[in-house]
Amino acid sequence: MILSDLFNFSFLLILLIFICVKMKLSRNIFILLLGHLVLVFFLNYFLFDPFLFGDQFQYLSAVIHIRSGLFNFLQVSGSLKMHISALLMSLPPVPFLDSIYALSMANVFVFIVTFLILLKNNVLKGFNKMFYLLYPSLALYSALALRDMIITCFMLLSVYFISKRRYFFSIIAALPLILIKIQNILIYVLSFFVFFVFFKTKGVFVKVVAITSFVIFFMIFKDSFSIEAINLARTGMFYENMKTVQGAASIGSELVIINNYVDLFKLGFESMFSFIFKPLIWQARNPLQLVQSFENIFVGWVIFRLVYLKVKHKINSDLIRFLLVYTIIAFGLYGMVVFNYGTAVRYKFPFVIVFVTFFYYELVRIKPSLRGKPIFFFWRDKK
Amino acid sequence: MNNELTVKHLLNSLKKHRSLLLICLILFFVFFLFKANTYVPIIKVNTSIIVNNLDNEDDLKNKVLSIMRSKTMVKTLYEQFDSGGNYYDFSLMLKRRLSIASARYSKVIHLSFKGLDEAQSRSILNGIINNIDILNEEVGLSSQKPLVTIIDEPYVVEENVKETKIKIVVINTLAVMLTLIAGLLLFEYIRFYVNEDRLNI
Repeated sequence: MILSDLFNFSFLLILLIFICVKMKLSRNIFILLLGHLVLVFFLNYFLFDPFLFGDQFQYLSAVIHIRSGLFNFLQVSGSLKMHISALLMSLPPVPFLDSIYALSMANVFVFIVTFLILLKNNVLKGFNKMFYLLYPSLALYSALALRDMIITCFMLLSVYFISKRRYFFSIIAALPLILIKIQNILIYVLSFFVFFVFFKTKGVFVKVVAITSFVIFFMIFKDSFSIEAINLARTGMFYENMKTVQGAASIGSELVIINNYVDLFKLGFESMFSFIFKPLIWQARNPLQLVQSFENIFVGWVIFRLVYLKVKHKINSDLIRFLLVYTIIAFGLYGMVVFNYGTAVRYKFPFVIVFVTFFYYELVRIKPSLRGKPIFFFWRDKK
Repeated sequence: MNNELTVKHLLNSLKKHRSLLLICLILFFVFFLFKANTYVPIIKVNTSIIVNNLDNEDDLKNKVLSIMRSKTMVKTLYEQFDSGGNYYDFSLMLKRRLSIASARYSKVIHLSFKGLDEAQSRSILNGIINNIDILNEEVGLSSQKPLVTIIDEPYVVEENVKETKIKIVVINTLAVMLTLIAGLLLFEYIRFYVNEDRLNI
C-alpha cells in the first residue's frame, strides 16, 4: 500500500496553513477551507459509490496519462473535451495524481485559489464570502474528481473582469470554456450580446462591435444555436433519463418538441423557474436529491432576496443587468434540455455561485449600507 | 509580545521539534523497510483483440465495447466465476480491476485485469472474449460472426517489484514525515489562537 493520498493531503494542508498565515485569513476561514479539503475523504467510497459519478475515472486515467509525459494530443483516444479538462486538472501542484482522491484534492486546490483571488480583489465580503464557502453543491462538486470546479473558476473569472469593465480580459477568461463546456460559452456570448445591444447604457460603437462579433460567432456556431440542436439535446437527455426507472417515473409525460422560436421562448420561460427548484421535495428519489431539493429552496430564496433588495433600493448597474440576462438565459436553456435532477443541480451551481457572488458584490458596492442587511430574513436591523 | 502569527514563527516551531521529526523519520523508514519486504505483487494480465469489420459497420467497435461493458456481461461472468459470492461485490471488483481501452481510430481493443491469482485473471479475460459472440446473439447488435479475433493470448505483465518496494519505502516515509510536519504546524496554529483567546478574555 502506497500512502500517496496521505502525502498529497499533508502537502496541501501545509500549503493551506502557510497561505492562511501569510494572507492573515481568519481562523474561521481556515477551518472552512480545511473542511473542504477533508470533505474529499467523506464523499467517494464513504457517502456514495464513486461510480455514481462514473466520469471521475475517465478524468483520472486521462490525467495519469498526461502526467506520465507520454500523452500526445494528435492521437487522442476518446473525447477531446475530456482530455482538455484533464489537462487543466493535471496542473494544480498535487504531487501524486494517481487516485480519485488526489484529483479531488486538485479540485479543492482550484477552489481555494479562486476563493483567494476573489477575496484579495474585494469581491468576496460578508454574505457572498459565506455563501461561497458554505454552498453545499459547490462543496460537493469541488470535492469530486470532476471538471465542474474548473468550469466554475473560468466563469467566475470571466464575470470578475466584466465587473471591472475589462471586457477583453473577460472574453479571454471565458475562452477555455469553448474546449471544455461549449454550452456555457454560448450562453455567455448570447448574454454578452443581449447585454450590449439592449441594456448597455452608452456606446454606439460598442454596440456595433457587439453585433458584428455576435454575427461572426453565430456563423461559426450556428449549428449549436438552432432549434434542431436544442431539440436534439432535449430528446437525447430526455431518453437518457427515461432509461432509468426513477427517471421515467419522475417525468411521466411525453417530450414536447419545439417547432419555432415562439415555442422556444415560451418553453424557456416556463423551464427557467422549474430549473431553479428542480428537484422539488416530492420529486426527490434518494437522500442526496432530498438534500438538493432543500438547497434549491434556500438558493431560490437567496436569489429572490437579492433581486428584492435591488428593486427596493432602485439599484441599477451594467453588471447587475448582465447578471440577470446571463442567469435568465442559462436557466431557460438548461431548464429546457435537462430532465435528470442530478444533472440539473450539477449544471446549475456554477451559475448560482456566479450570480450570488457578483450580484451581492455589486449591491454592496453601490449601496454600502446593505452590507449588514440580512439576506435570509425580512425583518429590519435594530438601530 | 507579538500577537500575530507569522510564517517565521511556524518555521521556528518546526526547528524546535527537529529532533522529534528526525527520530520519527528513522523509525518509520525502518518500519516501511520491513513492510516493503512483505509486499505481495499484484498480477496484471493483458490481452488484445481486433474487431472483425467485414460488414463495414462503422460503429462495430462501439457495439463490441458496449457488449463488453454491459451489465449482462457482468451477470454472465458472475454466474460463471463467482460461486456463492455477492453480485454487487463481484461487479465492483470487475469495475476496479478490469480495464478496457481502445484508441479512437483503431480496431484493436486492449483488455487488462489486475488480481492476486494468475489463473483467475486469465480465465476472466478469456470469459469476456468468449461471451462477446454469445451475448451478441441474444441482443443482435450485429450480424458479424465472429465479432472479434484474439491478437494476443492473455499474458502476464511482470511487475517491477523492486521499484514498487522502493516506492513503498520512500513515498510512505515522506508521507508520514509530511503528515507529522502538517500536524505540528496545525498544533502551533491552534495553540496560538487558543492563547490569543485567553489573552483577549
